[in-house]
Amino acid sequence: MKFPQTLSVRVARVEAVTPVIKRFTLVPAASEVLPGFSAGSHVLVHMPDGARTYRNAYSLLSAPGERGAYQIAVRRQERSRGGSVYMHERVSAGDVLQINPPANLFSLDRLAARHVLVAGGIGITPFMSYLKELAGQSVPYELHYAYRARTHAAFRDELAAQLGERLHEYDAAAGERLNPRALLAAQPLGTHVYVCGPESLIEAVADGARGLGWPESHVHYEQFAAPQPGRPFRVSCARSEREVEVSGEMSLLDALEAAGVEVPSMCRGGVCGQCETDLLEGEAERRDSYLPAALRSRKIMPCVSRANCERLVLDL
Amino acid sequence: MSAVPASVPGMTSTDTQDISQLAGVKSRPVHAPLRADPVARNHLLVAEAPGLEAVTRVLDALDGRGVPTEVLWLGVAPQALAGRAALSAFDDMAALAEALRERLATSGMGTRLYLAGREAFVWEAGLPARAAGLREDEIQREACGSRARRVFCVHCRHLLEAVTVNPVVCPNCGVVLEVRDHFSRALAAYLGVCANAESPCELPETQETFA
Repeated sequence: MKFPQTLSVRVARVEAVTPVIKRFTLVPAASEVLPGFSAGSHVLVHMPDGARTYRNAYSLLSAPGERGAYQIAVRRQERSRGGSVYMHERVSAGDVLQINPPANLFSLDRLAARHVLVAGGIGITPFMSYLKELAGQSVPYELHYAYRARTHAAFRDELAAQLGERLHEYDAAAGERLNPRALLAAQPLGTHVYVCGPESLIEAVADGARGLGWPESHVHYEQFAAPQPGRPFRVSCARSEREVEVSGEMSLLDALEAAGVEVPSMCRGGVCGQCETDLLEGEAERRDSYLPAALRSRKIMPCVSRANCERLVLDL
Repeated sequence: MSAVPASVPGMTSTDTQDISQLAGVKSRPVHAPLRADPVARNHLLVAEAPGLEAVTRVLDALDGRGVPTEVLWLGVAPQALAGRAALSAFDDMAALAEALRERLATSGMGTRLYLAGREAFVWEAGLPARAAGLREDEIQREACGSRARRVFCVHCRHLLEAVTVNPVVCPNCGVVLEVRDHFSRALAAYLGVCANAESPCELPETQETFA
């Protein structure tokens, strides 16, 4: 079996953090402790819903190394494919959930001379574990937190108390805007920037850094791009000789799994590379940020990518 | 001795093939000619005499761009560089390292560091950059001149300077060291490991290898 084993966790507590964000505290249901994790890790939560299972990645908020409980925060997405609505409406204290053990695609750079964290909205979540780790170190750091209104700024009061002058807030409702270029232009050599939030924020920071001569090694971002809907198409699995219909609302990976075709996966957001699959026929509509250009005609990341044609043939 | 310069990317020098079974190990530095980085907002060059041509090449490429450029030179600064960029000369490595540390501490992101000189020089002189948090994509090194190696004795942690023979006797602990192609970026030195541990009575023939 190629898949990571899943863990059983019991929901110990569900708290409303903002009108649209809930925090879930998960404790081990079948073991004494949970696996340890590093700052920036996420877990994949399985949400069985009839014939299909949603699997969403959520950053761990707890202090790295905390093994008694995991905490995640879930924002109810207006255009949810089901996962965040499921967490908000159907999960309550006492429920048992299956999760994949923590994985980290957004780790702190341990040789950095300075850390600048940039969060937009719910993108604050990976930094909750970062900040707990950074508090115990001597390397300078600061958090830039942009949100649409104070009532929607998850953990804002807790962060203000913890960070003091290290917290810089940008409240869109009060007309405050984060200017990534101005922020990046003032950074001393050895600085690393980490950004998590909407795609527009990630692009503004990454483009700003590039334009100011920052090398790629100092720019880190994480975005669990929820698979976006598209046109329906058909996929043929060459080895298992199965035909699968992919509806416009479902991701290719979800559709394959629903049809019983096993594909290893981890981030389900087009970044980790785990679900890389050989593309035998057809043209992919590439939506991942993993595959190098040279491989795009022969490989596909089914977690986010779709078809640019009626039918794909995959080596599955 | 082959005349293939190890500074050509992708080419393997044959200078250690007689002794090391591990030629071509991944950690062995591969150098490429210095190239001015067009996206940088500040250029810092650190060099010594054998690196003059490389430094001149970078300064030529930057000519007229108006991007801040400074040269830190080990030894007597050559006349050819006078007036071409901010230029400071230092008598020894310690003074050069101190000056580099000071420049790095006051520079902003977007700075690129270029090192040119003997292989041992470009790595040792670059140590303050690692400590300041620079990564390999902000640092370029061009090895010119002597290939003599700085060697770290893994048995007593002594650093041997300017080693040209293989094997070499560690002056601190007396162990006969095979100079490996394994290179430590943190120590700026090749690793020296006991050459005859399996058969203490035998000694590989000493060769002038890293001239």
